[in-house]
Amino acid sequence: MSTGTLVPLDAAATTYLLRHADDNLIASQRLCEWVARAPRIEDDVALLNIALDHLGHARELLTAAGNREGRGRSEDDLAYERNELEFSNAILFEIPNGDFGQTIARILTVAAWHSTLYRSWVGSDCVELAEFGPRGMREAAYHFEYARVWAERLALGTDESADRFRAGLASVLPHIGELFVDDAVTDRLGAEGWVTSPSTLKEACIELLTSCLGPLGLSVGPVATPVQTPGRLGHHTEAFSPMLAELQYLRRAFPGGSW
Amino acid sequence: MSYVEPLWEVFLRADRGLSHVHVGSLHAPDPEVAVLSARDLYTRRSEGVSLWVVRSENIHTSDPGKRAQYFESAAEKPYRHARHYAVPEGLNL
Repeated sequence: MSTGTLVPLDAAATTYLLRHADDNLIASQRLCEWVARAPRIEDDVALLNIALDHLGHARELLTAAGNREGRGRSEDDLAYERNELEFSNAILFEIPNGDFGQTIARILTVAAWHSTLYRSWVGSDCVELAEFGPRGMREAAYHFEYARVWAERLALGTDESADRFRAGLASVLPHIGELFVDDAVTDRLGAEGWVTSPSTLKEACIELLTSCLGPLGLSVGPVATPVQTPGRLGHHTEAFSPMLAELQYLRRAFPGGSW
Repeated sequence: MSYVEPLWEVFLRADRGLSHVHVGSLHAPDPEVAVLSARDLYTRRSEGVSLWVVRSENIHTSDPGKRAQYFESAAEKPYRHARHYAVPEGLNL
């Protein structure tokens, strides 16, 4: 899509919905890797609750994308029958979990982004986004609260927990720039009044993150706008394929299977 | 790791006008985490609208060994229940 060509509105909406569906699907899959591995059983349940919220969001957005696309693809077709290059999640969502400190750093960052993004959907002229907005905001707010409480305890806990949380942030934060990049898709939807340009959400998102990190003596640091959006274009990291293989294995091994 | 997080009892209020009911317990390092964990463990299927957590050590109980002397004599005093008394004839309830 070169600038200057006008993207058809339905195609732009499909791409946009799919991006955010993929972000949620991959966020969910990564959190699911914590099953039975969390440091406390209470957090095992909490991490999986967040994973389930992301999965619910992914399902709703995948279904909406399928409907917009108009080719009869269901949420399952989209989740299980696309290859790596067809996934448009941002890199932030697919990098490995790391330790608990890094996982909390990602939940915090993702929740700050989603809170900001979903708020901007409320009142959108795109009916799918307008309907999703309030519920998305509510759940992202809880994810933020959960991560904030742990961020506090890790950052102000022992030397080791503080080091690990700081290292976790250092692994996660360099990937947030991709979230704030405008392109032909968001320009088209923006011109229609359906979405707010990602670049204009940057400030609010970073402010929210800073509201947690600032009092802990930490900062988001400078966020450069990257020249490329690899994840959005389907160019994923090496860690992506094994994760996707695990996500899709059962459905691909037993097509049409049910239980 | 020898540190064991303290135990908390969780009380959940299902709806407006009802009282908080004990639903279980959990381990947490402090009150804020205890409430957070209680939310995740006990309220994910719309079970409630309000949570209390109390350190288990702050709950003092009756002695199970004294159950008989505490509670059983009440069972032999049916006159303490309104149902024990016959309703006088002519009283329209």
